[in-house]
Order: sequence, then C-alpha cells, then structure tokens
Amino acid sequence: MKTILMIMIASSFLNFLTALPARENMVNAQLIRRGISHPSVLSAMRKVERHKLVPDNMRRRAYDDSPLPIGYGQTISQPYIVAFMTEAILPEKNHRVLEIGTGSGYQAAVLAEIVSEVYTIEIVKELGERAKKDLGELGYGNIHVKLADGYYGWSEHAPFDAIVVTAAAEYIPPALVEQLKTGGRMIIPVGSNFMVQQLVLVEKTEDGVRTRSLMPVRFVPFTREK
Amino acid sequence: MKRVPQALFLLSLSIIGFQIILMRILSVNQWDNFANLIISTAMLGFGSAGSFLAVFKKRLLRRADTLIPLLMILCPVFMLSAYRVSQAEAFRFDTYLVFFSAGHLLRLGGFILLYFLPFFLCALSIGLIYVRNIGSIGRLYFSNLAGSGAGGFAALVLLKYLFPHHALTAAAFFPFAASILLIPEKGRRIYFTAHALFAALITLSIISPLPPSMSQYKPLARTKLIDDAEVTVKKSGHHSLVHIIESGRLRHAPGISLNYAGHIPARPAVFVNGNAAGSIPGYHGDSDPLFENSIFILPYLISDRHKVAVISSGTGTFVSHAINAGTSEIDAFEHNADLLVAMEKWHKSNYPSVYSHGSVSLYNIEARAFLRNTDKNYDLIYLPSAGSFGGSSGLDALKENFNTTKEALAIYWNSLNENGSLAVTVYTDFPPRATLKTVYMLSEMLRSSGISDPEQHMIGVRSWNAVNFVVSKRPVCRETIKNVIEFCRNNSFDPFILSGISHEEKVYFNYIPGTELFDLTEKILKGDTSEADDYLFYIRPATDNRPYFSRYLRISKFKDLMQKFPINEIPFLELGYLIVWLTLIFSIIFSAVLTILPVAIHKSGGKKIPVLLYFGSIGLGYMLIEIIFIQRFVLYLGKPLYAVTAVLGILLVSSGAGSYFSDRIAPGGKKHAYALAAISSVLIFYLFALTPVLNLTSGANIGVKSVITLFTVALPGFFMGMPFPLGLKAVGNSDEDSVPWAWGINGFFSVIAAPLALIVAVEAGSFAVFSAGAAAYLTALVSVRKIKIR
Repeated sequence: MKTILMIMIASSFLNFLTALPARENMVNAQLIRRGISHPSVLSAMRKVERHKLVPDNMRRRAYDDSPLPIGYGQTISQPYIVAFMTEAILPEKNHRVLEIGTGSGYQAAVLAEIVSEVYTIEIVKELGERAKKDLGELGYGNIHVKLADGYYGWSEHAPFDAIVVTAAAEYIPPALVEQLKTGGRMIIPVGSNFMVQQLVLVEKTEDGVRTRSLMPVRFVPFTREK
Repeated sequence: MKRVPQALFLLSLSIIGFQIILMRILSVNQWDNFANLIISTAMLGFGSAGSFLAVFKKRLLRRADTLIPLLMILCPVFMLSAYRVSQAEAFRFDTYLVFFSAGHLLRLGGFILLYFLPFFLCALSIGLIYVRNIGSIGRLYFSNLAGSGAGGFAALVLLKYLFPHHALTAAAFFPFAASILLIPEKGRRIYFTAHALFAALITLSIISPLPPSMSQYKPLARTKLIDDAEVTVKKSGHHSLVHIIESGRLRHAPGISLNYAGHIPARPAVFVNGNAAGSIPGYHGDSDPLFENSIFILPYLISDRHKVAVISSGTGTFVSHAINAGTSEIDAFEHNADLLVAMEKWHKSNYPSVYSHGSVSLYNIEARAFLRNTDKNYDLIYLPSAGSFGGSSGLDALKENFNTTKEALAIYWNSLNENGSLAVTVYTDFPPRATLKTVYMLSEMLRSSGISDPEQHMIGVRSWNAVNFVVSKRPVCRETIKNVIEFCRNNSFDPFILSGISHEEKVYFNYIPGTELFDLTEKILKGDTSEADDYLFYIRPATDNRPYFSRYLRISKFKDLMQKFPINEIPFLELGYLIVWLTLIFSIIFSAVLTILPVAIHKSGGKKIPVLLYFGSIGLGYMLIEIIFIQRFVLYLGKPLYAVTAVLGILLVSSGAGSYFSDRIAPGGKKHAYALAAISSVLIFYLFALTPVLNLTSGANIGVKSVITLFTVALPGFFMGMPFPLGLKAVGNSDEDSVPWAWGINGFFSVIAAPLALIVAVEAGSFAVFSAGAAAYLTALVSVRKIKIR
C-alpha cells in the first residue's frame, strides 16, 4: 500500500518538481549514460531545439526524461527513444530517410541534422501543418512534410536508405517494405501512449525481410547508476 | 407523510439512474475503470449528508417542510451543472494524464467533488425524510430501495433509446417531479429561483446538448482526426455506444506476413464505447489474401475444419476466416447486441454481412453457457484474441472475462471432437505477459485433461507482433511439423512452440534478444511453474474466481518493477488497476473528511464504537454482496446487462420489502439479531452452495434461470433490507443524536466498499469477497445488542 502510494504521488509530481534540464544535460544524463554513442546522433540531439517543437504549456518540461503530450492524442517521444531509434537506422550524411508520423517534427529535425533529405508524412492535418510551420521556422530546408496516408509511403522519392515509423500500425504497409532499399533499415516503436515497450528493426536483405526486437536499456533508470 | 413515499421513490429512481448513466458516459469518454469511482462518489454524497445532518440536525428539522422539496429541485440543477462543468476543458481530466500531470490528478479530485454535490443534496433530502419520520422508516426505506431498483431499469431504458448525455437530461426530470409532489402550498415563492435554474438548464441541455468530450487518447477520438473519416453508424444501447467509421485510410491486417506485397484494402472500423473493436470484413464472396498470408490460417493448415465455433466473434473477422477456409458450419457467439445491431444497420446499405452467410449461425449469448449444455462438437473453436497491438497501458486489467478462464477452457475442450483444436491469437508484449499467460493457461488445460506432455499437442507460430496458438486433441504429427516449418519459412514467421525445434529456429525471422520468453514457456510446458509463479508479472491462468485475464500487475513485485522501469512509466504498465487504487485512496480521504470528520468534531452520543461496528459492517457487507452477486450472475445469465439489472433490481426491491417488514420487529431485540443471523447463515451457505447450484442449472431455459435468480438473490436481499432501518430505530429510540452518525458511518464504508471489493476480488478472488461480506454481517450480529442504550 505504501509503495503504491509512493509511486502514485511520485509519478504525478516528479516532473512537476524537477527543474528544466538543458540540452547538454539531457544528452549527458539521459543518452550517453544509457549507451547512445553515435557521434552524429549525439550532436543532433545537442543541436535540435526540442522546446520549440512542443506545445507552449510543455516547454518547461521539454528536456524531461519522458514523452510529452502534444495534443490530438499524440506524444513527442522521450529523448532517449528518439536517439535510440535514430542510432538504430545507422544514419549517414548522404542518406534519404522516410518518416511515417511527423507528430511534433522533433524526430524529423534530429534526422535532418544528420542525413541529406528527410521525407515525413503526417495523417492528422493539424499536426502536420503545425510541424511544417515549426520546422520551417527552425530553418530545416531538407525536411519535406506531406499531409497524407503513410500507408503508401512516398514513391516519388523512393527508395529510401531508412524508414522511421513513429506511429506504428499492427501491420507494416507493403509499400514501405518495397520503398526500402535492399540493405536498408526500418524502425518501429511498439507500445502504448507514454510507454514504448520495444523497438522493432525491420531489415530488408537479399534473402527477404527479417525483424529484430531491440530492447531499450532505459529499463535501468539512469539516476541509479554510479 | 402524505406523498412522501412517492417522492422518495422518484428521487431514488433518479439517483440510481444518474449513477448508471454517468458510468456509461465515463466508459465512453474515458475507460471502464471508473464505475467504482461513480459508486464511491454517490456513497460519499450519502455518507456526507448523514454527517451534515448530525451537525445541523435541529436547524434543518425546523425547516424540513421547506427544505426537502428545495433540496430535491436543487439535486437535478447540480446534476446538469456538474455534467456541463465537467465537460469544460479547464475541468476535464484524462485517464492517461492523471499519472503524468499533477493538474489532471487534481482535476480528477475536482471531478469527484463536483459530482458529489448532486448526490449530497439528494441524500440530504432523503436523510431529512428519515430523521423526520423515524417511526415509519421501514415503509420509507422500502420506497427508497424500490425506487433505486426501478432506477436501474429506467437507466437501461433511457440508454437504449437515447444517447448518454440525453439520457442524463431525462433522468433530471424525476427529482423535479418528486419536489413538485412535496412543495407546500404556502411559501411557494422561495422555489422560484430553483425552478428557474432547472428550467434554464433543461432548456440549455435540449437546445444545446453537450456530448461527452472524449479522451484524446481513445482510439475513436484519434480516428476521427483523419481527414476523410466519417461516422456512418452510431448506435446507443443497453450494452454500449457503438460507432462505425469509414475512411479510405483505415486498414486492418493483423498477423499479416512481411512478405505480403499485395494491397491492404480500407475497411470500416467499429468502436465500442470509443475503443477499437475491429473492422468489418469484406464481402464473404471474395477470397481473402490477407487471411491466406497471415498467421490466422494456421489452424486450417493443420487439419480440415468442417464445424467451427468463434467465441466473442465481434465484427466477424474470424467468422470471415472460417468462411474463406471453406468451413461448412460456423457458430458465432457475440453477446453485445448493440454491436450486432449497428453492424446490421451498416450492412443494410452496403454489402451482406458475414453473419448472413449460409454456413453461419449467430448466437447473441455467452458461448460457454451454450457450449456447456449442447452435445455439439466442433473441429475448431477460436477463442477471443488476447491483448492488443502495442498494449492498452493495462486499461483492460480489471475487465472480467469469463470466456478465458480455466473453467471456460475446460468447457471448450470438451466441446471439441476427437480431431478438434482450440486456437487463440495473442499480441506479443514486452516484457512478455499475455503470451506467457496464454501458454500457462493452455498448458494447465491440457494437464487437467490428462495430457502429461502439452508440447506434443501444441503449436505456436510467431510473427513480428503476434503469436497464434493451436492446441489439438491429437498429438502433433511429423507431417504437420513439416508443414508448419514450411509455412513459417514462406511467410517469414517463426515456430514458437513446435516439437523438436531449436532456439535459433524460433528466432530466425523475428529475432528477440534474451531467452526468458522461451525458457519460461518451455518450463511451463514441462509442468515446472515455480519460475512462472514468481515472475515479475502475474501470469497464472484466470479462473472464474478471478476472471481477470488482462491483469498482470503484482503488488508484491513492485520493488522489482521499480528496478526495471523508470518510476514515471510504471503507471502505464497497468493504468486500470492503479486507477482502482487511486479511487480507493480518494474515497478514504474524501470520505474521512466529509463523513467522519464533521461528526467526530460534533459530539453526538457516547456509543460510537458499537455504532461504528454495526453500521460499518452492514454498509460494507451490503455493497460487497451486491458487487459479488453481479459478478456471479453475469456468468449464469449469459449477459452482463441481464445480471446487473436483475441483481440490482431484485436485491434492492427485496431489501425494500425486508425493510418494510422490519416495521414489525422490535429494534435491538431478539428478532433483530435473528435477521442478522439469517443473513450470515444464508451467505455462508451460498459460499459453498451457490456455484454448484448455478452450475447445475446453467443449462435451464431463461424462465427457470430467472426464477432461480429471483429466489437466490431475494432471499438474502429480504433480510439484508432489515439491519439498516432496525439499527437506525434502535439508535434513534435511545440516542437520537447518533442517527446521523450511524448514517455517516454506513455511508463511509459503502464509499470504500466498491473499490475495495474489486481489489480483494483481484488479489484474493470473489470467494474472498463473498466471505468478507458474510463476515461483515457476523460482525453486525455481534454488535447489535450494544447499539441500543438502555
């Protein structure tokens, strides 16, 4: 009973009471200590102004170690999950990446800091328009936002070196597999709102398509590490 | 006293109706987990009204003639206002955000206080009537309980024909009518403002109705955001609120092979109370490549299936699979009539339903009741899928599901012919819970049937996000193993359970790091369940005693959970269960402040401990027995709706009759004690006899079942109606000041009983709740002699 009480109170008030961490602190405390090591990913995470891509009332919590609600039943992923997903697709400077589910635009911005072109598709008009505006204001010329159904991918710009699906469906659209280059990687988070439980990496090889579950190491909270 | 019983009847009818309608509204715009919150809030109003009476009794009694009708008219004013305010953005809470933001936790607290007010006003008028007419309390209590019983039926009728927010408006008319009956001829002017307010709110509710604002995280709310999404059917009924949405962007293809390169067509999506219930399958004349390229074809690959039963067939996806597999006889069981009616409506203006196919017989009842009493045998029985893609944050944790209990599985197993199989699909979750619980459940079922090596009878095939299990009467032969391996290879699936398969083969196409899932599965299949029983999550099979398949959280493992998950994520593992704990905490706090504190400060009588024991016990006992009766009869009557209506109606009316009869019994005397002894005896007898009696007669027709339900519930119900009025009289005759205190105590324990009953049921089972109910009445029996001051 005591434990439950403690958890309920703590989980509701934890974020309320913590001070706003700076991006540098976020990178050091939430990412490096949990094993994110890709230099380009860390550099991108240091650079992207996450607080400018969240709703005004969430700004002071923008660098918290948690997902945040952005309206329309969507969340902006926890910074660690964004970094983990980005690292998992092994991004390179000359890559062309497709993102399904623009949401806040944060994942697209992180990708845009690393790769040459990011194509991102959002199905909810309001979210897509907001992300387009915010990303434009942040000066990302290499992000292309389309309001459409992600099911069809973006065949005009295919094939893609990698695909990041941020709004997972219970199936992987055949068009996405088709638009992924052989040797390319697609990453999909699986879980409910506010809790990504696993990440599924889809690899397209000469032999066919395979998946690999990736377990985030965040299950060991960073605050407990020495 | 003139017209008081009638007014009391109407008021009670309204308040129960209001509760049930509110439950529906919350289950639509939030989730099902708030029923207990509404019951507790109502009881909080009742308990607090008793305390208020204790403190201000003399002043209130002086103005009782004026106050009672005034309170009655204010009750619907606050009902309608509370609803409108609670829908405003600034006051609305969201289940998902309650554990994320302190603001939403406060809003939830505000929600309770907001809805506490109409219940408080209603209860205060009832309390005033009681205190004022203590000599006729039996008759009045009868009106109160009979009205409450009728309120359950009224709510169901209203919900059948009206959308929930309109039903709420309709329910507000009853207390208004009650007040009209009691308004004195002199001094009518003082009611003018209240009547004007009521008229204004009713007018506003009619000309500008306010549908419930849905949580942004509900699947229906999210689907409506899609540009071309259009609600083509909307149906409110007894069971639920059903929406059918069409959009060129809604597709449903669970379990599909990654190698499938064809098109996934858009399908209309069905939502029950705002939750996704599946999609409407294509016309049965079409071949279905989605089925042929999915894990769902597995049971049909293993053997020919001529007779198939689909449990909880919902939108008919699995029925469609059976048709596509060429099955000649399909029995589909779906208890939600509203879902079926909504689908029928949609199909009328589109293509024919799979349910209208010549090979399909649709039964609008719970499957196990049918299967238990039929000689029919099947080649395949498809169980309802477990879990959902990505999980639901544990919001279904406390949903009773008698279709996936150990006892249900035994019935299904016995309904198979000698070549028959059971099949079930589970969405994989991480850390694994549903998959392991299913393995445990199926393995136990096989062992109970005398099969010592379950692995020889089981096949599991895994895609990247789901596992399909097939359990057969005959051992899996080599030929089948070969076919399954080939099927997996062709579709990038992996064998999960298959005799003689190595670990590498189990993760070839869909790799999972670590071996915990596989090791535990292997151990469970071998009968070594010690590790599974000590697992981080509760994965033991559900039983009729604890029918919560989707409950995984273990209180004893909280510390271990905290080692593995960040603290702010733990609530999202099992929101549903934590919400019940939250309800209990809120109930205790609010109840202590609003019911106990006022009377504790206000000195009243010197018999607090016996009064506490007596009224606390009967308050707790009544609610525990009511809740557990509903659970037991859901299974017996085959439909939750019948169970809730029948149990509530019979229990309240028989209790009303008991309280009416109690006028003939001397309070605090021997017969008073006999009544309590009768309740305890009947409940103790029921503890052991009820389940066998219900099992024995489960095959009877609905007429016989209704008679058995009537007698079974009415017998204790009649006696359970006596202790409260007799106790009040006993206390009132000797120390009138203690009457409100007694009422307050009764209210406090009734407030905490609803969430408490659920927590005990989850942790220890319904048998334990029933035992606690019987023990509560024994405690009342022990304390009855001491509540009367001589």
